[in-house]
Amino acid sequence: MYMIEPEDIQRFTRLSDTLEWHKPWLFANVREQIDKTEYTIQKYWANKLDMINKSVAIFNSGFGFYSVPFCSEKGASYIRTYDMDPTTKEIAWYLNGEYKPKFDHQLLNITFDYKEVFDDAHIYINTSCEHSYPMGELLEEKAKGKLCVMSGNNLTKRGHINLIDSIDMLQEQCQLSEIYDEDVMEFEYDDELGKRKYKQFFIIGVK
Amino acid sequence: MFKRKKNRIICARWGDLYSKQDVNTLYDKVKKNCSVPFDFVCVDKFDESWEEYKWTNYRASLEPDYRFDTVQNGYHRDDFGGIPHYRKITLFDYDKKFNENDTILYLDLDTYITGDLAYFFEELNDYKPYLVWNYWWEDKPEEWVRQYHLTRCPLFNSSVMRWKPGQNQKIYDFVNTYTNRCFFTYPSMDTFMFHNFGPYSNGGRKDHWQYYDRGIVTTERAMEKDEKEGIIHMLEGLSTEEKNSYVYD
Repeated sequence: MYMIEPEDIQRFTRLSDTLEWHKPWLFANVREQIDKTEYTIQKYWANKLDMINKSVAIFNSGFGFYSVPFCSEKGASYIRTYDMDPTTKEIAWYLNGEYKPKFDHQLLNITFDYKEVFDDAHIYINTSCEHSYPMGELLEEKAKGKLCVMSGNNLTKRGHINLIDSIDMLQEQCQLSEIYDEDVMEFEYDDELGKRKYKQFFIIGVK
Repeated sequence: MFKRKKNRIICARWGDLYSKQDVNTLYDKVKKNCSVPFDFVCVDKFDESWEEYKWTNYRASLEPDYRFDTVQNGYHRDDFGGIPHYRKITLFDYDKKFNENDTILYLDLDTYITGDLAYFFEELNDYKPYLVWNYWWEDKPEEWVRQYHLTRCPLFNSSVMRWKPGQNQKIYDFVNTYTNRCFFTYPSMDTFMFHNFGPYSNGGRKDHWQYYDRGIVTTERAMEKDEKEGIIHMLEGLSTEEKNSYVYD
């Protein structure tokens, strides 16, 4: 995905085929998961992390169109994605099956089933904190002493139940013991509420 | 010792949205349309220990009284949290006062009865509790599948539930254990149950419910052309004026 390879084209083709023949109604969801904003967010942390021989857990992952190949290309030894959506599970396996045996996808609602999250990862990532209950307790239980990338935004959009308004708010929810890096990006979104700008907040540190 | 079982029809009323007259209207319909003996109870006193979680987590300024799109404080209607109808979940603990052999039929106050309610006591099994499966969404993957992760189109509808005392205790216990998480995440009891006690839920919570056959319970807001009203016809999602005109005209 850093340098487009035939495997990347194959994944893109699979996704197109899925949309055309099986799930045309999913177009809007897929488009959001592969657009430039998503690419920018996933590439941001992928660029920053040393993943060589490390196991990575990604929450609220969607089907991991960018995150999974980024992790693989940066040398991750294992990539496990988590998402509660059954359709996402189906597509995640279809797209990322080629990364087996170092890829796994778990159908899991991390808000309520956080005790079932595997605690064997070296790195824990959630770039969609706006979609779920604050991450603090989950990280306390499963990621103590581990590297975490947490990110969320303040975009008014369906499904955003936890608007993140600042770095401080994100840190208050995640309670990382040490922050190595933080950032704010500005993006634009357009829907029935009109075109508007919003901010995406990032913290990278140790729980 | 054998205890005589009763058919219990219950409804719930709190706040100002529904009046005592609405309860009486429902009772009249039940009396007219139930050919087996029953006890009717309107529960109006609830365990309110979850009330503080409702208000701590409710992200809107006003509590809408019917289904319409709105954005308040940066959140869409479906993302307000606070489970405003949480008192219905407390009925799953309230049932301790009933005999274990009883059968409970819960009806929302805006249900309209057109057939014989004996069906719910005599034609169904006790293997699992029942609720309404929203067949009208199931046929539209672009609605419920695409929006599964949102609270928008759950396939569950709690307007008509049928259970044996104790069968839903684990739902009450789950909310009691994860109270803040539940109230933070969900504005709707139906989505809460669909996500956590539905076909895609984890562990021992998966497939908690069974469902009435298609056509037994229908909804006014998704009637197909030439479709007949079920034994129970739900008016959920309509405004108060629309409901009144349906019931009283």
